[in-house]
Amino acid sequence: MSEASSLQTGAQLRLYGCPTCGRVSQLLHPIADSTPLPCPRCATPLHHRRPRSLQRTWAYLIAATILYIPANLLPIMSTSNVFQGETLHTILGGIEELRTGGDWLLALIVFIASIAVPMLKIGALLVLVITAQRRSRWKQVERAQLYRMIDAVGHWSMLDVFVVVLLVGTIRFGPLGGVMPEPGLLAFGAVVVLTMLAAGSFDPRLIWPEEEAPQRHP
Amino acid sequence: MSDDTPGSAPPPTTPPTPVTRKWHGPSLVWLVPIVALAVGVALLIRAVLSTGPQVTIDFHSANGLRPGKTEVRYKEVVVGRVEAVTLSEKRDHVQATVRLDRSVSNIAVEDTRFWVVRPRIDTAGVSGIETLFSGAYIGVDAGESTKQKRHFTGLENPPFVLRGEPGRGFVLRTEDLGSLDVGSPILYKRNRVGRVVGYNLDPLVDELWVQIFIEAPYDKLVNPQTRFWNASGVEVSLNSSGLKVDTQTLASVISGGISFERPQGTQGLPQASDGSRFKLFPDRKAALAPPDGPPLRVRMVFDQSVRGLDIDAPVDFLGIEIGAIKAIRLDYDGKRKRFPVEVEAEIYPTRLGAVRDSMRQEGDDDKRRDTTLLQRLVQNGLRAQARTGNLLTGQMYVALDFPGKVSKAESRHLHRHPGHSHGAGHAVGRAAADRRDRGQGQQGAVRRDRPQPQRHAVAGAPGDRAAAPRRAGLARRGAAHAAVSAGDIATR
Ligand SMILES: [Zn+2]
Repeated sequence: MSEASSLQTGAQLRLYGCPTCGRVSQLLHPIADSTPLPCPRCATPLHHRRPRSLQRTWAYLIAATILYIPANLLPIMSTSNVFQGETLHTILGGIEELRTGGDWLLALIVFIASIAVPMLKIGALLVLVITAQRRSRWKQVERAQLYRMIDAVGHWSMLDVFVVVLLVGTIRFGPLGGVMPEPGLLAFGAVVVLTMLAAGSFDPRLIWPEEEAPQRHP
Repeated sequence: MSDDTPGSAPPPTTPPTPVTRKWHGPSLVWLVPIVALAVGVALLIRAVLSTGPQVTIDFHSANGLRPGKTEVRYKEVVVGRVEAVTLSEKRDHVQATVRLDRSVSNIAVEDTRFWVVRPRIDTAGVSGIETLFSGAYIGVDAGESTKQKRHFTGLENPPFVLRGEPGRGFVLRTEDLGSLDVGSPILYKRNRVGRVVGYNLDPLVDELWVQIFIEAPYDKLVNPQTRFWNASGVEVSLNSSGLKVDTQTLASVISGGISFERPQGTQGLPQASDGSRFKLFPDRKAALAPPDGPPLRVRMVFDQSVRGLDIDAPVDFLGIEIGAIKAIRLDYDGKRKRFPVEVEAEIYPTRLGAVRDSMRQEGDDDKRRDTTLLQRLVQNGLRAQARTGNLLTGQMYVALDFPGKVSKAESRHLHRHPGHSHGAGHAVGRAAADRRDRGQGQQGAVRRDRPQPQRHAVAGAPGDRAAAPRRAGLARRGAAHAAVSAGDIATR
């Protein structure tokens, strides 16, 4: 698949695929870079690359990384009951509690969903963004696979938020106790959403930099 | 997604219009990490600000202290939590690391006191359902100092009186805690006016000190003459008027309690000072009985079995209970090859009432006057006699009587005295100090008893320690009080 020289891209043929309706349009006359190109059928703006993809991915990624700190430091929920009073739970603390309590399979699941997946997602996106920025041609197919994995895993890391929301909704003993969300949950939910936005705003076509690149830098 | 196209040039056919969305710098998307940063920092700052100072408290034991769970409560409000419990370097105490809430950060000052409130569950009941489930917690009494402190030594017992709480604390001395516990109510006319705040055992005097706190304004009810009694249980009394069941409030029956009352005529007395000590009586009857004054220790020697005579059995004087048995010992009389039983009793001369006042002679102090009174009674024929008090159980008591008034008849019928069902032996009371200068009449009386020496005993009153060691054979073992059998007297 490395026959880049013989490969003809849409950009070379000035063909634009519409992401909304699928219509393929060809630009007949060269126009200025900043001229908008609406799809003749549905008026969706047409681009060869998503505009400012890298910038947006970077922004979301940085935001996610920032919020990842309070997400892990702050408690995500508090449980209260008449036996022990109010108890605050952080993600790591909860995993530790599950592990020492013998439910280490559950601990592993929570660890994967809450710690491993978000970290791997942030890490993988970083790899993608950095290589795309450097117009690297390193392991392009694997990077494409990585992108598809990130995209697929996306909303599954909302598991924690989902669990806490479920707990808050269902476990109510009135005066005897209950579960309440804590600020950490906000940060954690934001991390998940931001990584999803980062993955969504990353243009996978950047894994394959345009052909003129080697021409510019012979 | 792609509606923020930077290009703003209008189609060539339309006249150029100024476009508001004109941002040629970095994309607006950079606001997202800025907001994220702001939110994250705000969250962390909030978290940091809401956690107050960390203090360490040394305790004797970590019993009930659970990291992350055990609360610190001030006036029953949770103001912190135990974060860690570690053993000290010398391993002689534990160190609890406590994170206090920001709102009470000024509580960690020099004279603040911490202690552990542990739930106590026993057969008598529980004190506070919530501590039963929530486990122990650390109580705080906020100090008034302005000097900050981060390391404290926890109290082993709750402090006597909490600061800023209106009311006064007192100490009750008792030999038995009963079902009393920290938090047990103090009742006045069955109305809760205070609580037990702690207790400790004084091993030196083998006595429990119960610290109580009586809330204002009821503390005014306590004067130096106030009597406290243990109102823990149900008082059942069976007497000539029938069966009487007296209960306190249900709460005090379950969890124990202390009642108090001011005896008649003492209502006008000034209030007792803070920290005054009182005796805790076992029941209301004992508490409101006239004061006994110091007891006199007397020793009686019986020549027959005292089966059925127990410690605390009453000592009657003509039917009036004036004391109780305190010790029963077997003795050996080498001369007669017998085993007399020494019975030691405490009698309260004040219970004799007017008799005591009218019969007492002049003397330097109360004790000596009471001693001489007893000696005179013994001279006049006072005898100790073990009688059956309860036919069903065979319980006995000691009766002090004057059988000497019928001495001749009695002497003959000693073995089966008409009035005494069990053939109880008569004890001849005799003050030991009196022996040197005893009159001829007494000697005669003793000699008269000689044919039945095994039936007689001499009671020695205290206060004659000087005379006691002079008596050979009986003042052995450094006995504090003298005792001599009738047979001994006769042999002289
Ligand atoms: Zn279209």
